[in-house]
Amino acid sequence: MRQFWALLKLAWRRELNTWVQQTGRGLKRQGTAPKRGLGCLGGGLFVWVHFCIWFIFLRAAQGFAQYAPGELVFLLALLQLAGLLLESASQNLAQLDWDVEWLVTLPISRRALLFLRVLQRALTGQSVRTMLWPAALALAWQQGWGWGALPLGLLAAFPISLMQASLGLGLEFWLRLRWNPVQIRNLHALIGLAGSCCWLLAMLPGLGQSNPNMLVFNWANWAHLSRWQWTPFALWNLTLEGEGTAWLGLWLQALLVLGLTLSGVAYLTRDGVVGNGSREAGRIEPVGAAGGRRWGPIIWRELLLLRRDRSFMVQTLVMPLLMAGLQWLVHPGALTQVLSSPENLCATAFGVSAYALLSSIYQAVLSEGQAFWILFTLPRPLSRILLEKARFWGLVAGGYALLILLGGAIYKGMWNDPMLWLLAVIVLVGVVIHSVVALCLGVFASASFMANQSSKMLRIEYVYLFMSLCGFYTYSLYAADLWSRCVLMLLSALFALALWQKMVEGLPYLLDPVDQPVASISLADGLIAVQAFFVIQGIMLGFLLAFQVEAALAVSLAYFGAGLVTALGMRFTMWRRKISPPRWWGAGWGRALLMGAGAGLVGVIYVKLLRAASCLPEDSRYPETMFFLMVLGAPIFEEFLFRGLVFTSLRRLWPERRAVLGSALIFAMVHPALSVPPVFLLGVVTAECYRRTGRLGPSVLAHAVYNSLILFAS
Amino acid sequence: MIEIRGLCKRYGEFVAIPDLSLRVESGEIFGFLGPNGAGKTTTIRILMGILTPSAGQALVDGLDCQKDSVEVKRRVGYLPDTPTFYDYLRGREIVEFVAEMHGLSQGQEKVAAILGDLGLADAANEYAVNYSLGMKKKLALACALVHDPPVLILDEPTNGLDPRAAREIVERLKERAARGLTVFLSTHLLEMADRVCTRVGILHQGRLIALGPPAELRHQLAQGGSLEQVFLDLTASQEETAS
Repeated sequence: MRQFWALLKLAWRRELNTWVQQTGRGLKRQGTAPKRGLGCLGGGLFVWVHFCIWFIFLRAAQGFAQYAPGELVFLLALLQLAGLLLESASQNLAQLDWDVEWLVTLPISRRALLFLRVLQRALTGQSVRTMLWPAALALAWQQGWGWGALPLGLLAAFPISLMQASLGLGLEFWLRLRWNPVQIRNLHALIGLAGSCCWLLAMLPGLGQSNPNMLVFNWANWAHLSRWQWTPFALWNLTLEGEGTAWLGLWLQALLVLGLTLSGVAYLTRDGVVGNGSREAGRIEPVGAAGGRRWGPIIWRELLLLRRDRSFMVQTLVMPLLMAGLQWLVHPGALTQVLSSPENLCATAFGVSAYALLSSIYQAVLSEGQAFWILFTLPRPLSRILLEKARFWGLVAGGYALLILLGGAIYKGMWNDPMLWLLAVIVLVGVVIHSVVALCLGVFASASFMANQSSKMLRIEYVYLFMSLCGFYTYSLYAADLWSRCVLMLLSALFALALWQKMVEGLPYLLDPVDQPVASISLADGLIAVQAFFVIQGIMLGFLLAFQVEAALAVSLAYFGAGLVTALGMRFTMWRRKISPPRWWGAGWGRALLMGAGAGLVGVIYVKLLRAASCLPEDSRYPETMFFLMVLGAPIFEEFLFRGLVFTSLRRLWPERRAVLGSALIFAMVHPALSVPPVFLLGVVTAECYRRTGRLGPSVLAHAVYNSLILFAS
Repeated sequence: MIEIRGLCKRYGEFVAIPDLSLRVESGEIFGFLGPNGAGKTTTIRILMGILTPSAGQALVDGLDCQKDSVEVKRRVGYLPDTPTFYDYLRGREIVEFVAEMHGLSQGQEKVAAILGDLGLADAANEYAVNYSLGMKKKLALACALVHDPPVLILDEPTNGLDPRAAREIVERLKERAARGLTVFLSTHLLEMADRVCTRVGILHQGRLIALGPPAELRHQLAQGGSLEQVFLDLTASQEETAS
């Protein structure tokens, strides 16, 4: 009995440790500040997605009342099958090591050990938590048990989970003892695939519009499932309706399955418990080595693994198509909708390739597994190696997008629609940008796993973050005009660049459980500050206008207020992270004055030319109240944001000249389209001032001179 | 040539290596001795850029192991204490991959030669996950040697090997050292250190408590006793002063 408890405790402790590590409390590695920010965002999304799952179940349950008994039985059967398959797929079937080989060496009878394992899975299994329990609760709630649904639902779910765990155990032993590892690995891929299909089919009525003519229900009627009242799925429903005999029947069935499985496993293990733990060597293939030289070693290795590892192949190549395909089951009219406009077609293409990126390059580090150390011994920067992987999988994902685009264009004859081709370019650019994003987020998500190895879980919130970013990019397909499309694309690219910078700096610390990169101003900080500046400004302006403040004054006040809040906020963050802030005073004023005047003259000529070409309305003059804003406020705050933060961070990422141009481009981008050329020039001039002197003062002077000239000229 | 300057590594509150300085000249076989948990593997991982130092620096051929890690890796062959390999790749393919990443043009012949040299020719077409620990060690050694590095960093090179394989590896190392290769190896097998190393350092709780040729240490500290006696005496007296 004591041994029994010890083993149960071991199982619980493992589970508990996983959860503690997941929430990050037990982790030695405390994320750096910006990572924590991303983590918070991801955590919120995590909660939201789980809420969605429950909501889907509740919706499905609401529909239960109107289904014919056979349909309901069919849904429950699908759900349980999905649970069984997915639980088996998530077990360590794919790994060579089998913990049972160790457990049987402990002084406990084999039968007790097997029983305990069943019990442990019935209570802690992942599919039990995420599928059976929510479904049982929703079902019991719908039957009108009120808060009693909680104990009753869990109680009714227990015999079912016991059955599922027994069958899962039987499957595991049978495969381990009778099949060879290559077969198991391939079967593992199939089991996972079948499980996902069942799971999605079972969820269908809760997703989308509930439709009595749905495929699933047709199957249910075809199989005459209403007659199958004795099956556990039907009995489960009846128990929740409060039928005593159903309880009895369900428990009898559960015990029968348990007993049969235990006897079966006892028979299987009569000659001992040793898994068939080695992979077949297979035949010698001289082709592989030659391919290495053609493709480069990294891609050659990926191709080789892809060919040999079915599990990997299903996950990376089949799942994206399957996921997209299942959408048509959920929304019967989806296909016509997708083909109805170039925007929809392109959004679909981008969605599928984003999913492909998630199932491939997002796992770039993780798929290296414990053999990751080899990459640390190679004379190539780790970031380059990972980028090469990203490039390969980006090509695959882009291939999916192209296939869908071409297929749609041929089918609907959209060939001569120039819009389609413009959007197709946006999609392909998006795939490139997001392969970098997926790579970086995947590295962040697996960082604590790689460093600690003990942690079973990955930071799932980064998946949601990736999806949100892809959603944001998809919006550029639907944006009103070309300029906003470009701005959205550029923003996404900048975000990718910021993530890339974070990743490159974090990579040497990837396997280090404790240390973190030295804190310094990053592009992410710069972008966040710029965004905060505009958002706060907008909010303040709204308030001031609501209080009847005169417009020009309100603009100035909002600008100064937002600038102060952002600058102080950033100074506080830097102080907390022990980063030295940009300095202001120093030499180089004379040159700054000249450079500012030069840029200002060019700006004045540009304005005059625009006026002459009557591109500018005559009344586009600046009121006098704007004087302080333009000559004092704008130079100080904008220089702090764009030179002090953005340029400083780009400088660490790129060569100096490219950093100057890059920061100027970002600076120009946040201005109205017409003023981009002279503002870009101003950005170059001020960044150059800052680069030469290392002080913000001179660049503020140059900016002020430029602004005053423009002001006087207009 | 390997140089460690004021190296420190903390894991949160726990200080694995407080302050370590050390210099290994070219052509030396330097043995890094110490009981389990002394900080040997941590030091080696810092040399390979797998871990980052909390303070101080490690240099190989005058190049910083963190800042110039790519150049360092061009010069170093590394063998981890328990090597793990990719699923679904054969032994030969793994060494070929490493050779190609090092930019070797005559990769295939080189790989075949080195695998034959280490007695892995028969197993070369087997998936590396199926190898025994000893074979995995040899395969990792093949990866470490394939680009003819001037410096070898080996973590417990003979751990898990049968006596014959262990002796073969030791002989190979001696041969290479005679040709001017620098070897930095960690071990807790004193007998091996005594036989192979030109100089040893004894590490205990992250501190270097003795440094010198094995014979000299024996002579100074145990009056002609074995290196094992030196080791036990030193680590025991340190325990006492610590407690």
